[in-house]
Amino acid sequence: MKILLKINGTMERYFPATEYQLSLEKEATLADLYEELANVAGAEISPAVWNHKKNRPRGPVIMRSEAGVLKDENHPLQEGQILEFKRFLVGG
Amino acid sequence: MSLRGFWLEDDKMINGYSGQILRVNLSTKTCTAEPIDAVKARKFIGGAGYGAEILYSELKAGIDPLGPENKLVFATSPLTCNVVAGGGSITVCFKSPLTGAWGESRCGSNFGPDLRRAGYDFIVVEGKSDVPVYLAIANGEARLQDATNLVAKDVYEKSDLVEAAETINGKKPTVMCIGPAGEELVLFASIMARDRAAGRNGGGAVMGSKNILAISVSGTMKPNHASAEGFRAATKEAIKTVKESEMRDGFNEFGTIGDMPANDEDGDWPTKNWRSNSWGEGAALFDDFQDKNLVKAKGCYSGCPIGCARVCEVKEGKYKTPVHEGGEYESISVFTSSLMNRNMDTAVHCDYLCNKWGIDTISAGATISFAMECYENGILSEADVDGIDLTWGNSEALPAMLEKIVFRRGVGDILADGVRKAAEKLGGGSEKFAIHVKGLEGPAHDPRSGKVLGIAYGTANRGMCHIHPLEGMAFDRGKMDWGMKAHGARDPETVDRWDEKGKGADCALLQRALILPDILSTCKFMSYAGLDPEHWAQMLAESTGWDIDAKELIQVGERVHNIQRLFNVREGLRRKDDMLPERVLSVPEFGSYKDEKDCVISDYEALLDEYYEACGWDVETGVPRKSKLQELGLEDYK
Repeated sequence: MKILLKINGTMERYFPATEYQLSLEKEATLADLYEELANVAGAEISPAVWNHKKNRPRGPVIMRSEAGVLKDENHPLQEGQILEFKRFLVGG
Repeated sequence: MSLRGFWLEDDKMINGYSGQILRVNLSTKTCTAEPIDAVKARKFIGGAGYGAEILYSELKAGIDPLGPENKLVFATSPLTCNVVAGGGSITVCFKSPLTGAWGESRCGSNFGPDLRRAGYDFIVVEGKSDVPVYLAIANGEARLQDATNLVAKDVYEKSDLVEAAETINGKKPTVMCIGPAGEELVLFASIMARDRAAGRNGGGAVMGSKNILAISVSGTMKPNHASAEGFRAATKEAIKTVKESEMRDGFNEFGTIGDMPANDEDGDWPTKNWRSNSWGEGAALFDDFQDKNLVKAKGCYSGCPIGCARVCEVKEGKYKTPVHEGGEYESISVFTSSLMNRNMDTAVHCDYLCNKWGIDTISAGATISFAMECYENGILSEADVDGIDLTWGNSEALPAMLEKIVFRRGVGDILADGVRKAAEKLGGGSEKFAIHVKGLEGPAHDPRSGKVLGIAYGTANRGMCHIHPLEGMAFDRGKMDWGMKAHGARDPETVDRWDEKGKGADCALLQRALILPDILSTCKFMSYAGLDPEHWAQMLAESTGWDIDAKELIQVGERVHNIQRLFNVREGLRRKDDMLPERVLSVPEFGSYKDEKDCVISDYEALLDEYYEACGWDVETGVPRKSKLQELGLEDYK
């Protein structure tokens, strides 16, 4: 299936592109998406927001879909889904 | 028990307030209750607002901050209660011994709400006791107790002893106390509620100078709200807003330390005593903390809808450290990047020692950083520091240096007065390494990441502070407007972080909103998680019955910013005291931004001109103009 991942707002500073069209197996999960993102762009994503050893986001970063924030890595994705990667300045 | 009619005639009651100021004169050993002034309450509300009014009116210019003439005000507001988002706060105001100017510090914990349950909105501590004492307040009654047994005890030991002595029917009081650093008059000693700190500006030294070692509060009183139903609805709405905020999740899951990797990347991480704004180690250090030191997230007071505090430890090894609340971004940063220390265990341990001994983590780390640079340049020799190797990055030196400072041993006696005074004593050009504004050491955000922060650092009344009143980089870099677009602020999405034009005016306007949590004695992070001036005004209106809206509240913010400024003007501070250290206005020596000239403020004087104009202050001097004071109803404060 195809998933469109958008990189928005303050997150743009840490990625080489502002969106990625990712190809995943049927019934893929959020964990699969992270692995594929690592394959496609991992080396170029800033360590400020991406843990290159674990292939996972680092720090206050969220993945959001139209239905809300996705936290569970086992969350199944759907064909044609549009996801948004955002980072939040924590402050303090 | 309700306070209504407890002290005052019904017609004098002010809804929302407990209605009482507790005045504690340590010289005469007397505790007296005074009514809140209704007119001043409306003009200054509470926290750092009403506190500023008290100090401006009651202190004379030029007094010794460590003399009996100084006063400490522990201040709440009608929104200081556990059901208000961020209401678990207390604001302490005083003339700072570190800066000689306006001093304030906010602390989380249940102390603020419990002070109101004990029957008071404010405590004013004045005079000086001839023997060590602590103050116990319970259900409207206040007494001074002998504190000989608390002398030289650390914060945890003092807290345990006072809690045990003041427990009523199994209910422990909330205690704030000083540690050994306060007793030793370290000028950046903090006032602690266990691991929560009123850290900045040296309030702990003021307590120590007065011989008051602790304050306990407890009670069951409840102030009246003008509309209990309306207040309940407004507070519920505010909590809902916060809980639905995505920012809230970021705070809760990662704490303030979660910003470390991105701040490093973005040039917002002062490194090696500000010689750079980035290091490249932020991500690895953050991972270390998450993997090895983090125990869990926690709220710093009962009922917090965010829970950004970290519970952490060092499980084993040389720096084994018990489970405690710590790991804040600022504290960890000053004990890592500022000192080039890659050992997270040491940073966590030093943070714990600061809590235990009652010393401000930011000033402590900054002062050791200053000492390391003096050592590098031969201004401090190995003999001067008793053989401690103060080479950059030597983590073993850090706990030893902290101990020297807290107990004023050897060179620690000089460093315990902060970097400004230490540089004056050490000479040799060390003033270039003393990174401060008005005498307050710089924290762990760098204006070479965004220029509003530069003007905020220069003009903050308490000195080089990242958050009182405004965390500028959150606008420039984080693209937050805290609901101020509706009140004339520019859309941060349209603002380049390194542009300068307009940033002075941005800062002036945003300070008026971001000072509100300081005045309301609430947590600033609730404003990050969606609470705008309208939310604060609605809760305040329902509590007090005042017809107050966001516009008026923002004007209160401006009024308070101005009366604090007047306090500083009366102490002789002028435009020259709003300048930034040269190093902060210089291209970084190394790191990701070393060739990036645009990151540096090119014309700080012009930025300051623009800021003063936007504030209605005289551009030459930085003194508020008469017309501005009249507009704000401050014409009587001269």
